[in-house]
Amino acid sequence: MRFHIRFSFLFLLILPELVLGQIRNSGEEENFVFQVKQMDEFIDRFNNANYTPIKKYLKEKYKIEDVNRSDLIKGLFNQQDQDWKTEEIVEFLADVTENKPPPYLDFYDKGWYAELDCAGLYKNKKENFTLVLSIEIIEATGGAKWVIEGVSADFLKIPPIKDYRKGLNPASYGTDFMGLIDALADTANYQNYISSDQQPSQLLLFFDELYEKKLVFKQVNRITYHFLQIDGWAFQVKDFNRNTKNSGWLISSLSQVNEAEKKIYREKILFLK
Amino acid sequence: MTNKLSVILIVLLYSFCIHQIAWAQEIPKHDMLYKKDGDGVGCMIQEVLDDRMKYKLADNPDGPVYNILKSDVLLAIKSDGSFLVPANPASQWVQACSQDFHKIITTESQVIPAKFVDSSGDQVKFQEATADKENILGKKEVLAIAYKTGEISLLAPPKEAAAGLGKVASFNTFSSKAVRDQLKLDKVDYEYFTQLALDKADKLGFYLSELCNKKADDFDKKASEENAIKLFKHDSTWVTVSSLNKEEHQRYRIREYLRRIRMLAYDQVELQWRNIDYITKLRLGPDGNYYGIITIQQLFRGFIDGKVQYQDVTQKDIEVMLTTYKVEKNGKEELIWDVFLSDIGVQQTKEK
Repeated sequence: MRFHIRFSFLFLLILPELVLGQIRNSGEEENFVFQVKQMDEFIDRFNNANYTPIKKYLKEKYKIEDVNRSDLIKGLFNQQDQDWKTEEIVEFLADVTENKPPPYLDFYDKGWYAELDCAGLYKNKKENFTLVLSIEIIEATGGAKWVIEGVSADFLKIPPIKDYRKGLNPASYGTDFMGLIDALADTANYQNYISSDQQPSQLLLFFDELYEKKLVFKQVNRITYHFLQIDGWAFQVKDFNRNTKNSGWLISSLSQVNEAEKKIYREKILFLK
Repeated sequence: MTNKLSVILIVLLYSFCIHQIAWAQEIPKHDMLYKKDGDGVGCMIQEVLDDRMKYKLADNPDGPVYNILKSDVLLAIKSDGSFLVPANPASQWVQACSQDFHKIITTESQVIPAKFVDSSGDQVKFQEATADKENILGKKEVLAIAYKTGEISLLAPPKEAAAGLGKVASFNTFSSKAVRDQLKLDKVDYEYFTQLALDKADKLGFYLSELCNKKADDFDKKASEENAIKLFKHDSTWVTVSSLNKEEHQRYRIREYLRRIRMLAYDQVELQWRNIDYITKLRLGPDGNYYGIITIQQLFRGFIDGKVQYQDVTQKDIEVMLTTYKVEKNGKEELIWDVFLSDIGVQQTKEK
């Protein structure tokens, strides 16, 4: 049985080249059709939507009417990576294609994030930092926007608390909170005076520095998308810039994760609370 | 006369009572299970297992716990307004409406947020969250109303309502009827606007090649520049430029970019846009405009003394915006929808 699964998988891994690519004379234009040009296209191919350029092209040029979802998703993996765990991919494909109903990706899903490696100037010195964005739906209009959820920057340091014993004592109310005079001058320990739910974050520091014009945003260097909305799985998608059919926005890593691990993933990898 | 008045008053009082009773039946204060046989059971749901549900009758809370197969239940609605379509094994509880707006669920499974809603007559009158005036839907067009207080009132038979509600994944993902009506973005319009966007990208490619043409006279080049500008909503649009020789991208406003293209320091330039046929979905943005991306390939060759000095293939992403502008027609102002090109990003640059 195990051999059968492995054999089937290997066969199917070649299948995209046979089905999607009975295509010898590839050429740049054909590569452009096969390339996953935008995340929209990634989502459409993952869902086996009817109107993807690749399906239109296969139908018009090679008379291939039907491409199954499993083959399309296999084509979304970075096939130049030699370190894929075959069994894991087989299990993932089974989960996303055989479950009833099978899970699909939606652009408006919660649980997918764009991680942006950015460059900027901080106090006139070149610095890199990371922004994490997600899609937010505007309830009043049904429109949507990308919003910044997290920031990570080595140059934005939250100062450590110097003295944990400092704080407004429980009797402060009795003096109409006179203790605030000293507390708000005690900048070395200011976290002690803030609710534990509202602790300072790099996100706030980031906007402070932008507001003070100490930080200037320059450009986005690289983007990694993180998909966490499929039960039991997390995967990353990156742009592979090469002149082959297997190029563009492709799955660069896949992990089997439970809900607790996803929480850690959000905190440690995406800097989200 | 007094008798007539009494009769009218009695009739009015009676209609009022009937209306109140009907209303009370529509919005129960306990959980409801709508069974396949059409019966509705007022209950308190105790547990939802893989294959069945456990409940107590609302009018006998100290009585026995009943079991019912999930496959026999069309729709389960909790008193807080969350609902489940138990017969569908994949269905999960959809949480109650947020407190900001009521939600009207139509027969097309669209969720319309409303500030105010009145379904007491033959029609459903409502004021959409984003609109200033009242709107009306026929009752046959509405499956259910989820009130912001938490209750759900079914306006369609449970079987029909369950089928429609089953497609509603969240009360927070919805269509704005006002925007839909304003734009009337049906399939035909959608295809028209996406094709128009691709045509405009194609035209921009043509004007760019004209601007590069060292044999063209200045008058023609100026005309190409102005025609290119007209394809954009405003001239504050950014264009990102990449080069194989530089890691850092440069950004220019569209006018400056066009000027630079015109002034390129080559004897001869070949600039060609190709594969202008991929556009992403147009999606509603925060400002009421729709946005999408067209991805194209640009081939560039710069010659000096007849020899290629620089060449590359660049993948460019052009943001397109579907938006309105005002025109005056017969002395009246009208809003017209049109597609414009917007910021142009660069995704990849390869050596040819």
